[in-house]
Formats: sequence, C-alpha cells, structure tokens
Amino acid sequence: MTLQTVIDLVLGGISLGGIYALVAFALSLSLATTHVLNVAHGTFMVLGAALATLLFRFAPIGWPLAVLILVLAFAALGLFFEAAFVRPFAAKSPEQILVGSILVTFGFALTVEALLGYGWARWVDPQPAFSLAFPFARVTVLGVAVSGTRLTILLAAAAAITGFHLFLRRTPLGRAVRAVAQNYAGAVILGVNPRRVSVVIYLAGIVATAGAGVLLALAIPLEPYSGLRLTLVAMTIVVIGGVGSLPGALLGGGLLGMAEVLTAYTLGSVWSPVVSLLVFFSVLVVRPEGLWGRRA
Amino acid sequence: MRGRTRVLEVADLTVSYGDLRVLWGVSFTVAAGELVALIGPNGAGKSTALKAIAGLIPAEAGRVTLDGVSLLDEPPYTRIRRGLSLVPEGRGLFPAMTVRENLELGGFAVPPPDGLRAAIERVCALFPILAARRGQLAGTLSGGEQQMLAIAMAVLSRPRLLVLDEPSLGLAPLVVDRLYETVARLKREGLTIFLVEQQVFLALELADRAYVLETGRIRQEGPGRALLADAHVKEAYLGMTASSG
Repeated sequence: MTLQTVIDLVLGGISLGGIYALVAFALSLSLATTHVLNVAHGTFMVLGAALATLLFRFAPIGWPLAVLILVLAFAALGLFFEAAFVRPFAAKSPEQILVGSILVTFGFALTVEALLGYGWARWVDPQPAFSLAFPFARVTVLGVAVSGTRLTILLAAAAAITGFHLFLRRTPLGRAVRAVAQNYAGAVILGVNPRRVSVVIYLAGIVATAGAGVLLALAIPLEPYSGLRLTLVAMTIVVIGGVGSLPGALLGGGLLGMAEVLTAYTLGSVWSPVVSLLVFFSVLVVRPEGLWGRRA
Repeated sequence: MRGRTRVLEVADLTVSYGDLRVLWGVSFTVAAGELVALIGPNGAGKSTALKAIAGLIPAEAGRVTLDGVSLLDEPPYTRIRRGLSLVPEGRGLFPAMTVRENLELGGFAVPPPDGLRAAIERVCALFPILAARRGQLAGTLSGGEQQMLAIAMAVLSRPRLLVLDEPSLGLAPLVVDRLYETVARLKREGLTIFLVEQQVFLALELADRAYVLETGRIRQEGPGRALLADAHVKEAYLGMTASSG
C-alpha cells in the first residue's frame, strides 16, 4: 500500500464520514425537536442528487446557479414536507408521533422513489443513476496529490456542519431549537413558538440533506432506491452518536465512513453494509448509551 | 384588596382530561403586589389550574384574564409577552445548556430594554449562586440551585405575574428556607406572585391571601394567617388535630 493509497483512503473515508455526519445530524435534530422519525430522510439525498443530475444534463448552467436552484427547490420541499407530514402530528403525544411518523414518512419514501424510478426510466434514461462529475479531479495540496472531488466534499460538508453548529450555539433562534429539544413545555412557557422551530429545522435540514446527496453523487452514483439504505446509515449514526449530539454525529459519521471505504478497498463494496452493521453492534455492546451522551 | 388592580382573574375555570373533570368552576384573583397561595392535597387540581392558565392544556369553560386581557385565546408561547411568567413544577430549565444560556432563554420572548447582558448581570446580583456557575451546565446544579435558576429565568422577562408551581418539591428543608427568603424578597420588591405549594405552613405564612383547593373546587379562602389558624386547614394540612391545636 503506497502513501498515495493511504491518503486517498483516509480522505475518502472522512469525506464520506462528513456527508454521513451532516445527514445524521439533520435527522437527529428533527427527531429531537418534533419526535418525527423521518424514514424519507435518505430519499431527500436521492432527490438532491437526481435534481442536480437533471440540471447539469439538460441545462448548460454553472455550479453557482445550480446551487441556487437546488436550495430554492429543497427549501420549498422542506416547507411542504413540514406542513404535510409534521404539523398534523403537533397535538399528539411523543409516542404517537414516533409511530405515526414512521408509517407516514415510509409511505412518502416508497411513493417518491417509485415515481422517481418510473419517471426517470421513462423520460430520461432507462438505467436510472444519479452521478455528477466535478471539474477539479486532482489537486495538489502541500506537494501531495489528492482527489479534488473528495476535498470539495469534505470542505462543503464541514462548512454545512459548522453553519449548523454556529446557528445552534450563537443565535437566539438556535438556542430556541435546542431548548425545544431539551424541554418542550419549558421552551413554550418561555415564549418559544414550536411551530417556528419545526419549520426552521425541516427547511434547513432538508436543504442540507439534499445538498449532502449532491455531494455523495460526486463520489458514488445513486439510484432511485438508494434512499432507504441511506436513511438506515443516518439512523445508525444517530443511535451510536446519541440523539441531538453534534460530536456524536461527527464521531459516528467518521466511523461509518472510514469503515465503508476500508471495506470497499479490502473486501469489496458488497461487504460495506455488513461491516457497518458490525460497527453498529460493537458500539452498542461497548457503549449502549451511545458514543456521546450529551444532547443538542 | 378592594381598590387595588387585579392582575390575574380566573373565573369559573373548568378543565377535563377526556371524560374526567378535574376542575369544577374554580375562581380566584391576584391583585397587584399581592402574594396569593393556592394550597391543597395531591390530585386536587392545583397544577392543572396552572397549566390551563399557561395554556399547556385547554380550558373547557371559564375566563382567565391578565390585566383585564383574556389569555385563553392566546397560544401558550405568547402569554409570557402579556406578562405571565411560570416556573413549572420540576423546573422549566434546559439541563444540557449552561446557566448563562438558560438565562438568555429567560429573555427570549421579552428582550430586556437595557440589553440581555445587563439584565443577566442584574439577576446574577440577585442570585449570587448563579453568578459563580454561569459556565456550568444547568443539569449539573444542585436541586436548590436549579430552582433558583428557574426563578431567575422567570423574572428576567420582568413579568406582571410570577407563578411558582411547587417550588419546594424535592428540596431539603434548609434549601427550602433559603428559597422562601428569595420569594419573600421578590415580594418585598413589589412583584406580584401566585404560589402553588404543598408545604402549607411556609406558603400560608408568607401569603397575603390563600385559596384551598380540594377535589377540583375552591373550598376556602382568606388571609394566609387566618387560614393557618383555621381548624380544617390545621387538621388536613398541618397535621394537627383539633384538640392538640
């Protein structure tokens, strides 16, 4: 194994880990604030990758315009999703919300994936696959050649995670989000409108998740039915990292990302889900409370 | 109390959980500057009354007004802007946030006119324990310190009415004494306070007036000291039989 291979593997692992951490954190924030377990979370990654693929395929636009269109489209979708699948649960008990939301979002995911697979195969390409090419395939950093795509993925994911972190820590609205996650009634009494928190979380969360899907499509082609597998990855990270914990999401995401890349290199990518499950069970056996106990 | 403005007025408040009626047309008032206590046994509906006032559960019938403005049409999260500040039973704080962040949330709905930082300095002067622990996570404070923090958060919005739900719950007697000194000081400073308490002796000693709530109905009302001397209150709440009292 050459040094170049080691560098490629590590960068591959942590960039994938960055995507996973971002997606998992968005999922766990929505779970912590609204008790909705969004099974369609990974589907939004697929939709992000699909829309980006479509944009670059049929329109001669550059990245800035594409990013703007993606953000606007998924902000709108986030608002719709919140209104249609989260708000109706508002008056229910946390347990009712959890069970009800799993059913409803599972149905949403299946419907969207079936429509996407059918529509794409019929109108775009009989073999649906969403993948994106990045103009800077290789760049040299400090005399070492690294994958420009992977580096971009890592930087973009890190920027998004930092943005989430600063929002939650430094702004009054971000503090209100954390307050709702830690003590719902206490936050309401202090004047926090839980509806507003829910709208913000789903809007930002779904835009970030779709963005993570675009980043993932730079590295790995996605298919219409990849969504549920990606949701499982995110849920695994939430469980091993702790609900609402950013350090836990980073640690869990990095762990699963590295495991997946190393498995693909040594055993072949067919084995990646098996190794992910092994990591999952090992963490649960060693630390059942998750890697990071603290919340939000 | 005639002539003083009524801050809180609750009239014929009726609340049910499903088919189970918990409050049956309960009425009480709190005038400006008064400390009014609501006492009663477990399950009498004291916390239910507070939750209905705060809007955490719906009222079936009746009126709740603060400074003459009806609260029942308002969503729960705007009532603090009307001047209602509740310290819920078991404290309304956020365990995984620092004391400072908790205090900042106390000023979330009603930003202090002189800025959040100055307001936090002010309440820290009032609650010296908190000043030393500003960077500490609220969940790591002792029970008494957490209750102090919860009250500090509640007064940060400069409420018209401070409502305390069982502030002594789960605290050691010495800590309860210190807590009541703080409540007494807030009262001296002119704050209007509505206190729900199971530690009947402490509450009645401090209260200008008090109401006794039993099985969802107001059974008695009167000045705190007068109720302390009342035969029924003595027997039911202070553990004294008529002969020994």
